Amino acid sequence: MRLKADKIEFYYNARKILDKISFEAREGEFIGLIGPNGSGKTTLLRIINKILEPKAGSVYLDCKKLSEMDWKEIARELACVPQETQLDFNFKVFDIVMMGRYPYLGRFSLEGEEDEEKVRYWMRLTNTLHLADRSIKEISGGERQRVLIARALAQEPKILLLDEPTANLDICYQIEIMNMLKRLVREIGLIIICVIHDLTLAARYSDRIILLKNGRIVEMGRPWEVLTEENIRKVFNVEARIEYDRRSGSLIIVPIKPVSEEALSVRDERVRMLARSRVRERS
Amino acid sequence: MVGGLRGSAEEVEARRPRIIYERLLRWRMILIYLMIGLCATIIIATAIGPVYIPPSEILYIIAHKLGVSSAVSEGHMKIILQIRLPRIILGCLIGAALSLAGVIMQGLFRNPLADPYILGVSSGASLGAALSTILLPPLIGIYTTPLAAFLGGLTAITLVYGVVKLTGRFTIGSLLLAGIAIAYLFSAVLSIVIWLLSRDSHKILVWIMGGLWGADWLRVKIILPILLLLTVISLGFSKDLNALLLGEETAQSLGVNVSLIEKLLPILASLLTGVAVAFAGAIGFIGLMMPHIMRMLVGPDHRILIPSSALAGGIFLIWADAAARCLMEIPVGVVTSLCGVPFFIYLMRRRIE
Repeated sequence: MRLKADKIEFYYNARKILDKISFEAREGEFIGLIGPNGSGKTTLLRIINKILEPKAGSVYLDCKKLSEMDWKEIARELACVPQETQLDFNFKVFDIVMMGRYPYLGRFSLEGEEDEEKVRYWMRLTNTLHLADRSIKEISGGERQRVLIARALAQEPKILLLDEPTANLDICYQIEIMNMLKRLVREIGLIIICVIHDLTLAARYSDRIILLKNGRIVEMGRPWEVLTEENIRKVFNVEARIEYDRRSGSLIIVPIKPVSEEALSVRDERVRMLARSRVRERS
Repeated sequence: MVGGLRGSAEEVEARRPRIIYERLLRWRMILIYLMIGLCATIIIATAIGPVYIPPSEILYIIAHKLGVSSAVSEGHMKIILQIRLPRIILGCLIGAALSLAGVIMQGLFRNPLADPYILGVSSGASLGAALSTILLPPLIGIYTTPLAAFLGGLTAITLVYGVVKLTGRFTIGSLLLAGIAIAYLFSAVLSIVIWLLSRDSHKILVWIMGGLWGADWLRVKIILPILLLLTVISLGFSKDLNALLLGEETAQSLGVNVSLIEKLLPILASLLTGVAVAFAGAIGFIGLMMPHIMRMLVGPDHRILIPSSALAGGIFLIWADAAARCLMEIPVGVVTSLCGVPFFIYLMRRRIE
């Protein structure tokens, strides 16, 4: 399975939200989507999920155009855990995960034994099987997030989209969920595209990072290529220190202080040159 | 047989009763209990009236009618078969239809305060039905009034949508306010129309309050097949409605064609309301109360919520009508409103908390 976004453009009213976004994702790749608020991350996820139609360009799953596939067909290839899921109603955890099987069921058919086997399998993997009989309203935030991920996995997708899966979770749940996602990418070759606010977390888990600003891809590549002090200053307006941690084998990003606008514009050109030379040095 | 008592974890796991079968069994039991409740309700409600006829005699009469011969009183048989039973069966069907319309609207708007009466669909349907009986010759026979009621209801819900869109943001507050405004508008127009054209204030009362006075077997025969068909169609959308409860975005990523069902389900709800209103006027609050009570009892899954709400709606309206009959034939809509308004306030309070 390959996911390809080709020159996607999107407008909200007259405002351009996404501008010629192109990238590809292959089997077994964890892609982190980072950028400041309003840079178009969530919009991009929604377009990949066909919730929004791009004004120009298209998304391809293998060679099929997303806009020409029907909803159920997409749901079998691509699952999504949105930033917020409404859970006002008293569903049991098991029923929520079982909804992941809907794309495989006919209008009047009920779930069969095979569906339950699959749901149990994913619940065991996400460590949620013991919650099966509980109400979705009475479990903790971390458990709920795992349940929603189990629901998405029960769709048996090739591509999983996540919008800040670890927001509002304590660090233990954060790494638990991220480790689980990483394992899925390694073991079953899932493609994950994940919006992450925490840059250190993004650096640690992403195979590749896409850095967005004002609806444009500023930089795309390995974490150490994208997460440079210059890029962070340019995109987030933040002075940051970046260090390499030997034990985890990944980068640590420490934000220091905001940079003022005018200083940035003067420096902009120099920053870009510097960034380019750094990449050259490494390669 | 070879093999020990203890097995590996997988074997133990495999031997566990499947959750899907437990669930199916539970659903079956719920429906069986409700069916029993409905049968008991029908028999007891038939017994109640100006002349008390004991339930045992009712069973004899039904048996007699079905061909099992037994001696029955001719007079009682007439009361039961021509007056009480058609009214009770009609009440059951109308209660079921309104309750179903409520389930669909609450699922669609993801809010337990939605109801065909509160959102003005019933008023629109009343206006349509009243206009058709006063103005139109029965163009397509007995289906003229239900069709006119359906179109009225559809107009109302379209207007409510329009008003909500006009205000910009889709919140439950704006939805309810728009519904109330449209309901008033249609009630006012209805009163004017009836006042100008027939000068019969009793008719206004029938359409606005709702009552089961004109019940006969013909009406039962018209509603029954329509209701069964609409119930089956609603059941076909039950998984979509479940998914929709998790939000539009999640529903869409589960393969639900959200824009399609957001067009189709209001039509379905208007049809159900239209059928009910055409024969009994605007009876309120059943669509609000029944789905909510059943959701507390059977859970939010629409595959069980839809049939059980329909049955509960039938049972409730039979009892409400029995009460109305005992209280000097007041409109049954008054009884349901007397139960419904406190319930509505309770729901609002719970939401605010």
